[in-house]
Amino acid sequence: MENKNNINNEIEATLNSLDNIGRAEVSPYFYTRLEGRLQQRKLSIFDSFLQQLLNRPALAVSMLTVFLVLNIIAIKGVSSANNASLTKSASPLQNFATEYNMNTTSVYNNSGR
Amino acid sequence: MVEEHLVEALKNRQQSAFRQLVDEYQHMVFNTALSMMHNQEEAEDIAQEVFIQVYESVQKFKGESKLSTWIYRITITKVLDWQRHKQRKKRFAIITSLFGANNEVERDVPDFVHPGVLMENKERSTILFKALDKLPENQRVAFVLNKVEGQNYQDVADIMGVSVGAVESYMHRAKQNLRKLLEAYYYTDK
Repeated sequence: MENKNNINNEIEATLNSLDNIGRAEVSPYFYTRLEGRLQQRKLSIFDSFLQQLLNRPALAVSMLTVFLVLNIIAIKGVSSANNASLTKSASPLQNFATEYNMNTTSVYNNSGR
Repeated sequence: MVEEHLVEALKNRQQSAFRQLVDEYQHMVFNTALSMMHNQEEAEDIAQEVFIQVYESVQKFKGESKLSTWIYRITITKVLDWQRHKQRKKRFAIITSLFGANNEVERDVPDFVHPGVLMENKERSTILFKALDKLPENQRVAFVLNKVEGQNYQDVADIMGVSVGAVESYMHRAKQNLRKLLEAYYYTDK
């Protein structure tokens, strides 16, 4: 019984052991260290992005694949658009030439007559 | 400097204002982090993260709460995120070690003695901090803010974004759970 009372007292004392606790203080020159970290962070945002890519080869490879696929799609798109515009623009030009009888060769070709 | 002026100066990226902010709140942030993490280096690391976050997101601070409340919130969020990350890492290490991978399972941290505890309470507070680690997050946060940081229930409620009634309930359950844990400790371990 006495033992139980002792334990209960101990529990109470433990629960109250944080009474009048003081504040833990950060070690000196905290601001200097923080400033250094802030500078480093500003400088290394791009570096850390690269570092992350290098640390994760799977991510790097998949990003590279996406980049290549997008490039191929873009190149194909541009070249097909060029072809289409060439074929489209060729026929009105020809029509124009036929309409104004410009299909004959240059007048200089007839100069010998 | 009055709080509003300090915030305004911070928004204008004044270096002197940032220095003043750090000088004013560094011990508060560090003490809160240390009381929850029980490791000086990691607590300082989190304290740095907190001030970097404050520096980067001060434009979003609308002044609806006290500056200290906002900084407390950032601190608690950072600490809990860090603890969840550590817990996940620990679980992963245990699982991979079961499958024979040579991931070293993190050892338990040594007993934590808070530097601000009175000499005669050092041993008991170590036991209490160990028991505190086993409480659910909300109860642990409320207990640390109230008992270690000395915040009243209204301030704890503002920091945690809950009602005062909820804080009372967290504190009541925290004390109940701590009592049970301490009973188990003193009856079986001793």
